[in-house]
Amino acid sequence: MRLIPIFPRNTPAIYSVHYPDQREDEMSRLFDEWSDIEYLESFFEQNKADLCGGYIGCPTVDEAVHRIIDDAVRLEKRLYDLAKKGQQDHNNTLQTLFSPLNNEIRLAEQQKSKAKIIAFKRSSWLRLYAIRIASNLYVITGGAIKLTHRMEERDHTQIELFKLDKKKTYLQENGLYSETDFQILET
Amino acid sequence: MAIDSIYEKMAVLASGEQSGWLKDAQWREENQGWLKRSQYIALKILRTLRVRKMSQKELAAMIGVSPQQINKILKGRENLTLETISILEKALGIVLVEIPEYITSMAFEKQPAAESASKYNVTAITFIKKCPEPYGSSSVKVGDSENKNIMAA
Repeated sequence: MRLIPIFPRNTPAIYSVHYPDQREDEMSRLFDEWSDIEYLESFFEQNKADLCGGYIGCPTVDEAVHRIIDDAVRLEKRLYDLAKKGQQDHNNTLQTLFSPLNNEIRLAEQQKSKAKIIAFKRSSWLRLYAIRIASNLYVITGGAIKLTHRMEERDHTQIELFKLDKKKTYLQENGLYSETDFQILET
Repeated sequence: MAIDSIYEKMAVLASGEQSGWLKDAQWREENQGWLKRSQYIALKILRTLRVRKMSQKELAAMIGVSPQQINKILKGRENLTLETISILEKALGIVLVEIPEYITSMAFEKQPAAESASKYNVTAITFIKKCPEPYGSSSVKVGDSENKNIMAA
């Protein structure tokens, strides 16, 4: 397991985990996957039943794929803009993009976090999971297309929880843990 | 923990390896226009193959290309030529790209020679745009206040 710098010199600094069984780091892998139509069509065919589970009506597989294409472009653009410009625009910061995984309001050090974009007044299915080590220092541990309310409900989201915990332990073992800053987040 | 100490520790832990994400994100942004069309085409082909229970290999054999080439197209990242699109449309019997049909009618009016360098002056051009549902047929008139941009063309 390696930590790959995405934009380490800017503020905020983002690192991405590269797992030994993957060809690329998580940030690269996820955006590659979310723009791969063969993968998306197959994913929604397999998870078709979950498309009707929520408050979003019952989109078809075609509609769901189109939605991911658009949301991935928006999410990537926000991160790309941050990477290019740094955190000069206070309305477009990682803190506005990520929220605590357990929907907690407090900002504790090394909390798990999720990155989620709000588009067309609806919630995105796309999630980037990260650990916030300090106020402007994030480690992306993975991501998923989350169609169910709880991560434990599906294998592909359950595994992301496992990855978050494993990475948290790794960072703690390497002295990157403090009670006040550590936070686990998601987009 | 002091913030400097955290950044130092991260720098020690981090790999010297560069992530490909920034480069890929830039490429996707620069090529967004055709990329989105390529993705839509890929999806339509994939859905057609699924309904017909056809494999990518069978499609490749039908049009005489390698399965790897079909797989690249179905990932939605190929900048397809019109020739390739036509071959795929013919093989599957579906429309992948549709150009809206425009019927242009021009009304000519005779102008006095002194007022116009040309013998005839075009006074009205009407584009009749045939759109698929849900938009229905619509007519865009050049010169309408809402369509000044069209008049400039």
